[in-house]
Amino acid sequence: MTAFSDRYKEFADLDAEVLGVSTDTVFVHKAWINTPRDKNGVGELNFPLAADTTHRVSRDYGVLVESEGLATRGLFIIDPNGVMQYAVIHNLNVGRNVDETLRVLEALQTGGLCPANWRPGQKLLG
Amino acid sequence: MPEQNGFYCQARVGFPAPDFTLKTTKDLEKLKSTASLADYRGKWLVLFFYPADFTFV
Repeated sequence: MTAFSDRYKEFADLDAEVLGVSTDTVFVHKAWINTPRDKNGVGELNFPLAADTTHRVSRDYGVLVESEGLATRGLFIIDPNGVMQYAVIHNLNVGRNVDETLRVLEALQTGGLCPANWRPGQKLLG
Repeated sequence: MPEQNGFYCQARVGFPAPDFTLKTTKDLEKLKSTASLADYRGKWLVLFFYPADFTFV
């Protein structure tokens, strides 16, 4: 969470908003934000957290663990027309890679063909 | 639609993302502010899920 917040400006520079979702309530989110990082909190965040208390959104995105009532670590990039362009889901134990998220976002925004391991600034295939 | 855990989920790359309206911490004081997919039209959205507050993300 803090990894995404610390690099929020890079997302903002790409005209992207960030929204984090868990099945916790907004009250628990608030408590987490109001807890400093060195006390197991997340501290002030540069983007909002949303509360999927009915589990419906997590289910719709295919990340809900029904028996536990919590979401696996899914990350989705949705384009300005509301179309899903990228989906990656990690199981509970493994965190995501902000560099990779930014790389894919930039690749999508080129609108061109980006081969494997393409990096921002490199030539497109078409 | 792909099937997962016996449920048909709507999320699929190349298709419109599932709609949502959720309460958020946008207004940390009142906690009444919501976010909907439609709010992000015209912008890119990085939407990410995580299991629980007070754990790593």
